[in-house]
Amino acid sequence: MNGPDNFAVPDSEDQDIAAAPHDPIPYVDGNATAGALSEVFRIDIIAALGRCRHCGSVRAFGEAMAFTDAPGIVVRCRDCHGVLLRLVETPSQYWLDLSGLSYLEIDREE
Amino acid sequence: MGIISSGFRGRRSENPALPPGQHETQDFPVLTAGPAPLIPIDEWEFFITTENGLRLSWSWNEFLALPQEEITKDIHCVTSWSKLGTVWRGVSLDALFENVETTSDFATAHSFGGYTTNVPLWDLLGGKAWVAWEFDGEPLERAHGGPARLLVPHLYFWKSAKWIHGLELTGEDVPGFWESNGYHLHGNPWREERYS
Ligand SMILES: [Zn+2]
Repeated sequence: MNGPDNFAVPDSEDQDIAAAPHDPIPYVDGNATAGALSEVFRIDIIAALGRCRHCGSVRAFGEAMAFTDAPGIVVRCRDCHGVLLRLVETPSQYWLDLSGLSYLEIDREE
Repeated sequence: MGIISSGFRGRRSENPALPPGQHETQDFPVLTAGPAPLIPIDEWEFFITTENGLRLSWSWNEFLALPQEEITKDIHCVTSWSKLGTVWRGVSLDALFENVETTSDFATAHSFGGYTTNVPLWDLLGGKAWVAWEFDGEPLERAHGGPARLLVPHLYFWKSAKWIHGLELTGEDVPGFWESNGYHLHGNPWREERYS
């Protein structure tokens, strides 16, 4: 049911995913996380290509689904809804989980 | 800071129903880490699994046949809002655990859609926690966790898992979705157990 790190790894047969067009939960696209993520990344992660560890899809990070009305930021794969990134800001720390991304491909500056 | 702002803070903190660092809201904000799963009611179940392989489960109709309680409680979200006097209907976990024998001290709540959160068993028993399916006299909206959510109002509200599917009893306290990424293992709002 769940992956080793407690995330759902949904597949296209998953009823939860099939219901997505009627989902009452709002989300924004990954571009909206640029401000918060610029605090922890020196690179432009929004433009980077990322590979989803759950389904293998490769997309620009900015195209992902971002859930920001939550105790932290949760960015999910647009194709399978698996978790790509979690960011929690506490008064003294950032907690960053990137385990849903098997790689990030980042253009070097000219 | 001027007199007006400190006076405002003073009045707020005088409300004994509000834990430290919380303010009251009249709204019911929707906080969620992902999409709302759609659970057909004939496929819904609530399960309890124990360390020795026992698995109990209830269908929706079996669940509704259990003794129902009306619950009026204050709820406290870790993002700092509190909502006072919320009214729910649901089944006490004491009723669901009636035939469960376990030596486990902890539980992992599993939601449809994959969310998890960990709660010590003693925080779930003794009239402290419910599986709730009605809010304010109406069936619980899907955005708020319908058909049914866990209700553990004496802990921060991320412990009250939406779209509850079941409880897995464990010997160890296994960090759940938020607890594994910065949030407190326990989450008592009166002790401000927000972060790990
Ligand atoms: Zn994916």
